[in-house]
Amino acid sequence: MSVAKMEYLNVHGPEKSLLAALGCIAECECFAPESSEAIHSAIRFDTNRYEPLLTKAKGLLQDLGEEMDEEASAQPFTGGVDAFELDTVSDYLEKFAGQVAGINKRRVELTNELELYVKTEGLLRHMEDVDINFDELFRVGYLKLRIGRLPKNSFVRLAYYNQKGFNFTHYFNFIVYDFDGENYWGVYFAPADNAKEIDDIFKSLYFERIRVPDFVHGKPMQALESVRKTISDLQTNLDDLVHPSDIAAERDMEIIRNMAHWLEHMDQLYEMEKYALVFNNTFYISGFVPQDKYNHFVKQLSAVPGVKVQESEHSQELPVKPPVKLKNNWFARPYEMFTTMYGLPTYNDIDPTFIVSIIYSVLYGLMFADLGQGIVLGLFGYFYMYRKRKMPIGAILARAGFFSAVFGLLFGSVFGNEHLLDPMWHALGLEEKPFEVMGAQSVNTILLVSISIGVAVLILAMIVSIVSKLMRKQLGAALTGSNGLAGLIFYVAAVFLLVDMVMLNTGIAFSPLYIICLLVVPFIVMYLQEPLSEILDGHGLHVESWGDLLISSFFEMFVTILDFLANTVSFLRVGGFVLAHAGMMSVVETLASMSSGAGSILVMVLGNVFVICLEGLIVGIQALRLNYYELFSRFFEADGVPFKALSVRRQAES
Amino acid sequence: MAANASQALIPKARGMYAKRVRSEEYEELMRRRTVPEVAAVLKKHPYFGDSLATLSPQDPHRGQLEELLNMDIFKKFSALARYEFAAHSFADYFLVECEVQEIMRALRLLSVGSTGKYIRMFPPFLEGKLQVDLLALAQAQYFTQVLKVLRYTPYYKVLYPYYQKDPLIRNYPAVEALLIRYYYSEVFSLAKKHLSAREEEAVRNLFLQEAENYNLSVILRAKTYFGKAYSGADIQYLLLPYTYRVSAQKMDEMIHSKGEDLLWAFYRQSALERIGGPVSPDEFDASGGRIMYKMARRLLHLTTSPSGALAAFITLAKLERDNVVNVIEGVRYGLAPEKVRLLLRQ
Repeated sequence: MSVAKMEYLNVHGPEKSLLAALGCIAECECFAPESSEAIHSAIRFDTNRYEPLLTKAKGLLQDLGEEMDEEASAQPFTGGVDAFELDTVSDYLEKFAGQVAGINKRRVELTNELELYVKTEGLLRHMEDVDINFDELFRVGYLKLRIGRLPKNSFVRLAYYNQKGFNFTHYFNFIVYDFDGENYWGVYFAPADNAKEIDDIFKSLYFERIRVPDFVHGKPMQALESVRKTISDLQTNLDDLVHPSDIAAERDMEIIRNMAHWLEHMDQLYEMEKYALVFNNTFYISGFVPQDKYNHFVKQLSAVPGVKVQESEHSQELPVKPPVKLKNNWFARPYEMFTTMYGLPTYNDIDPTFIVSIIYSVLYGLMFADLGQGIVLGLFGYFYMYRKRKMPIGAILARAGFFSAVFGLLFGSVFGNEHLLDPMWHALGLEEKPFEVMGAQSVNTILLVSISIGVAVLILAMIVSIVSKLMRKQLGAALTGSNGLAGLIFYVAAVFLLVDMVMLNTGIAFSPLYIICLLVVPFIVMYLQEPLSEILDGHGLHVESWGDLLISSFFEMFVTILDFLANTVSFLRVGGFVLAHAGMMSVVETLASMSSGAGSILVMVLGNVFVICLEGLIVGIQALRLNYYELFSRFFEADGVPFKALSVRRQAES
Repeated sequence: MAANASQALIPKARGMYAKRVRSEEYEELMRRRTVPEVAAVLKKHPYFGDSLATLSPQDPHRGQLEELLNMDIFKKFSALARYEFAAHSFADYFLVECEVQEIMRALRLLSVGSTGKYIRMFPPFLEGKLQVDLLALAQAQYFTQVLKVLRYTPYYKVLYPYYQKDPLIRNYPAVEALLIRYYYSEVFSLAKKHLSAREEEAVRNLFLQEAENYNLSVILRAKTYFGKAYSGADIQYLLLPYTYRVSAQKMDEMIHSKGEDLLWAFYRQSALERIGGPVSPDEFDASGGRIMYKMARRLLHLTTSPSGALAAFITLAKLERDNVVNVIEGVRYGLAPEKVRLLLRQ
């Protein structure tokens, strides 16, 4: 239930050791540098030489038939920053990249050639049965020859040109030699003098001309054979081409992989240099380290030649707000997710995670009280969601499931069966289970308990609020605010007044002294919170207009009283869900009893699955809502800065 | 339409529409760099089936694309019309539309002296399906020859009186107005003849909106691009005698106002801008298209009338065609996606 204590450090050393120092810092994963806005980062004139080489190394690995192992590269490089020389790496990668480029160039040439031959084969296949000789055709000078395909829609239009007698003025003839269902494959001849007009006509008919390459000779059948043979040869050449993956031996591959990993590491360290200020050949980095990691960090960094760590004076005012790292026990730790979703506490504030963990678990357990379903939910959350899928919410579900099981045990509910545990209670000497949810008298009890939980949570929230404000040195707000001491006294006194009136009938709460001291005075203090706070905080009394103050305070008090009431009543939902759960399970039981044998079991199983899914989700949301709205809103000022330690692995992930 | 037999048309039409090109797919198409890339995607799109198979993969011509898309619409119409067993039905309206479109196309070319060009545009897939001989229409070089081709069709009666006044088609918009007027009168007459009162109302509203879009578009064009060349009476002559959202009085005010400001003011104040979106004069037709899209989509989803479903589907299919053409032309001329998006009818 606290925020990890931080030490503010200055790390400095010779400039040449900067990368080594950053490597060590990143390896420790416990140093959060001052944010880039807070430091005067040096203007850099050099360029990152690691990044282009890293891209080249990744590309080379891909060409060599190996993807860069993302998981491995996400791990910090352990070989140290001096593992390789940048120029050596560049030469080594270049040697292989040159070989790969040569092979790829040849492959592209062969592929393009093959593509042309395959396309030509497609054309010739449509002409297989045509008895013409390409060499003779292309020799004809006064006739232009166009081979290609004409869409079937356009083919119909040719009839028009025949009827128009177009042949007599601009002679052309379209000879069809194949039809593929959509296009007519054919050839047209046009006199050289009229070729342009006739080409325009065919173009307007969407004729797609296919050019016959120079290597086509003789009759289509012969040309086809020749083309097919060439395709086969080209394919063989392509298959025989050395694959880039064959040019590097396993040892070379290992070196390239290491180089890529080193480059990735160095690239990220290079990016981290922005946190360092370099002056007179000396670098300076400032930041925070958690107290418990301080010694380890100093020891590790001292091993880097020339690097020194200097702790700032405790009395000295820190230049920036310390970042916040939540520190909780094993039970509460998963609930940090809920806290951080809302925001982080400030460094000197209270971390509400532990309170959330208890309240959330208890409320969840109460609203979803069932021994069997709780165990199922807990096991599912822990083993499937948390262990297998690594979902943080799985750990919360495991705890919530455990509490559901505990309350289910007290309510004697197992998968909706309300009497399965009766023998156990009898064995323990009880006549029946401790609490019967569906009992006639139970509804009032459940609702009263729900309200009581609400009262307890609100009182706790106000106490935490008072402590939190005192820690933040806001004495005025701690004593006079609606979430301060005045509010707490007023709320507790009002609750006792109601309890006395309805249940105890002692009359204490109606005594003038009680009313004046515990209700009227706190009310007036809250009403005059603004001027009183200013006085208590030592700012003196500064009221511009008492009229405005009294009117605005009136409305604020109206809202405050309404909030006390609404927030307390809000907890009625806890009782509502207890009853709703029991009600839903009784419906499942009734439905199951309408069937028999396997049908009954099936209904029970499906009913339980349905209730677990539906209620598990709704109750989870409601419990979170109660924490956020009724608890956090009373004291939690989420304006902390998260602790982000420098780490190569994290950067890779981001 | 025969009630029981054609009820199957409704789910069929909805099923066909479900395969449409979605907004996100248009977005993706708009971001393509070359027309062949767009064509390659469209050729594989399930909405078009194999209709675009013959589209040239290298350089798809706009004319060819429009022709194939029109063929696709006709194929879809034929597939839906198969559910109609009666010899004559409301579905015949689409054949009338095809005929009117082809006659208008042929006359437009003749009016600008482009004789012999219609053959490059006439849709072969309609050959033999209409009461107009399209090949004969293609061979006509004068208005009188067109009338000869149309001699035994209702269009002869529509066009002959005009031929006597203007045999050289000097005022083509007037001929177009005549034919479009005939088309809408046929649509409403077929609806009255073949549909129940409830069906007729649903279908009628769709076509009234379409006619009104046409009227507004004519007024805007006349005011914006032709200025004083068109008097109020000239514009009035070009309009269809129908209104839907715009009252006849308001329409009259717009016709006789100076400039197009009144039309824009009305557009912005009325529900038209809310439905069609804010537009510039160049995108006015797109706005009308968007209004039609919303109306037709609603009709298709809610109608219990086969005729309503058919009319809604055909309307949507035509808008889909316009969208595809706009996207392809947008990519061809390197328009930014946000500009192409303004032209889409959806």
